[in-house]
Amino acid sequence: MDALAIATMVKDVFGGAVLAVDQPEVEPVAVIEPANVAEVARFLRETPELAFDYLMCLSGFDTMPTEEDHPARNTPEEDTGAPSTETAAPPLGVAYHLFSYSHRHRFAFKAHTPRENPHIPSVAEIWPAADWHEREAFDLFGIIFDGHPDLRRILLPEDWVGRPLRKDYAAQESYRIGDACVQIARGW
Amino acid sequence: MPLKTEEMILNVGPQHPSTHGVLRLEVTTDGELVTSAEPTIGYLHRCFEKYAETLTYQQIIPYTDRLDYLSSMNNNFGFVVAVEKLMGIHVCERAERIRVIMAELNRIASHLMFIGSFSNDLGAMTPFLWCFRDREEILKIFEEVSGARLLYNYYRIGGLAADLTPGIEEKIYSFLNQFEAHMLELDDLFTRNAIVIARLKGVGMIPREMAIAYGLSGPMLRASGVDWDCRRDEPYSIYASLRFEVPVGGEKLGALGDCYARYLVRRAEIDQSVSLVRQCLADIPPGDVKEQVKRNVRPPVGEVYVRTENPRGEIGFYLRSDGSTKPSRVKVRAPSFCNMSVFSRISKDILVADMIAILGSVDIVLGEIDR
Repeated sequence: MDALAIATMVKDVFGGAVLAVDQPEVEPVAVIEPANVAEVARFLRETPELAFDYLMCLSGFDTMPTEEDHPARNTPEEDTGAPSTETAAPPLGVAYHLFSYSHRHRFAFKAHTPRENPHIPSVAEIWPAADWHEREAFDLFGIIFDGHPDLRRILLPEDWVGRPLRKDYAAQESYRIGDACVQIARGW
Repeated sequence: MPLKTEEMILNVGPQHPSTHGVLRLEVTTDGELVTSAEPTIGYLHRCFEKYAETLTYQQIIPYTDRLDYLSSMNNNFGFVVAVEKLMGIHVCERAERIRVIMAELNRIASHLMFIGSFSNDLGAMTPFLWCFRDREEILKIFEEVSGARLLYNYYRIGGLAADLTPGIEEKIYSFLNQFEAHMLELDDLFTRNAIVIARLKGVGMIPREMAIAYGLSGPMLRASGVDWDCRRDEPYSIYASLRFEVPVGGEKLGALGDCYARYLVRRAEIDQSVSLVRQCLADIPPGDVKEQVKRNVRPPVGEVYVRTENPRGEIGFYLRSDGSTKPSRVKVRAPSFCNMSVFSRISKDILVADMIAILGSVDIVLGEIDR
């Protein structure tokens, strides 16, 4: 089934939980209300005509613009089509890319979550592959996946401070290993 | 009176030859039996994805070499295909043919490395040396073409860094002829070796449903009986115009989803890659392989997820462009990362020696797991 048709089907069932369909011509990505992610995922996995049994990729991302000099599209307003509210901090997001081996079709959706208190329901029960991917997004973006069986850092040390892939991450000057404080070398 | 036994926690790695890099396995053992094995990754994390956000698209290519350092050509390939899709660039036929030749030669080199290190894990030294003898010939070809032996940085968005050197076709042909004979010798030594079969048959079974649920890809997935190959079923580059078979575990290739099936699938893929290289070499049209785009490409605003078939499985690039010369997000869906996530699930109540065989059969590269 074509991705736009799948998006319409999801919209028929979940109504307002589907906020928009992004870039319909290139590679359609449905934007989902974050609270509904697990339900939508379960629907996509268990509906026989969809049967998305394979989670290809789960990626966290940050919508904060990298540079000031070019207009960024990746604000929540432009992604969802909602009127602009300039005071809100740019949210974080998670993108899900799915594939079905039985029907050989693919689908992508994403959800935004506020920067200060990022929460998204875990899909690790639906696709075990999400387990490590969600740990990675938690590790590098600080997104909390509610209901994840074992949410802890995966790539960085347990005592690392900060979430490096956020655009406003400031690199640490020093790092504690046990009782010793190691100064991180600069300028080479 | 029964003897009281205690479970022992054993750390395999991070510095241990069987872990193929810096991976730590926290293994709980009950005598010779492994009751659980929990992998700890991240020792090689070097913030590739963060770096990528500060570099232009062409500048990222050499960093992709370092993801899966045993198949740098394929990583380059995956990344440039993703950017080309984002930008809608068409690449000339000659460049595409050379790309496929290099990618398939690199697949052979990578699978040779797998067979070598896998046999080493099982306690056999000879196949390792035999495989490295042939891999060396491929590295010589790569060195002549790209100037490097391991990290090639050969592909460019919209083309290639350099054309083929004069006379390289004959060198590739003579390598292939010699190599096919060597592979028959390897079959006698390793593939049909009774000890090898006894060590691998029925070890580390991954059923079809588990393989899909854990997101396995590449030979790991096909060994479990899923007939899927990105090159054939979601063709990129010129794969749609080439003829090749996709080896799948099951009836033709031994049992389903065990270590031996994973070995056999890779062994059969080597033959297919040889055939693909021959098909491409036979008919390379003239043309200019140098990229026809600017050095600082500026893809339109948008996001794509593009996957290609690496020796280890599906390498996916999730790219978000904000319309500038630098990507806003580059996420690498590394095949080894997903393949490794099933490891603790299948390493329960097995012998320690079998655990090493299973780890070898996953064929991990820590460079792309940790990124």
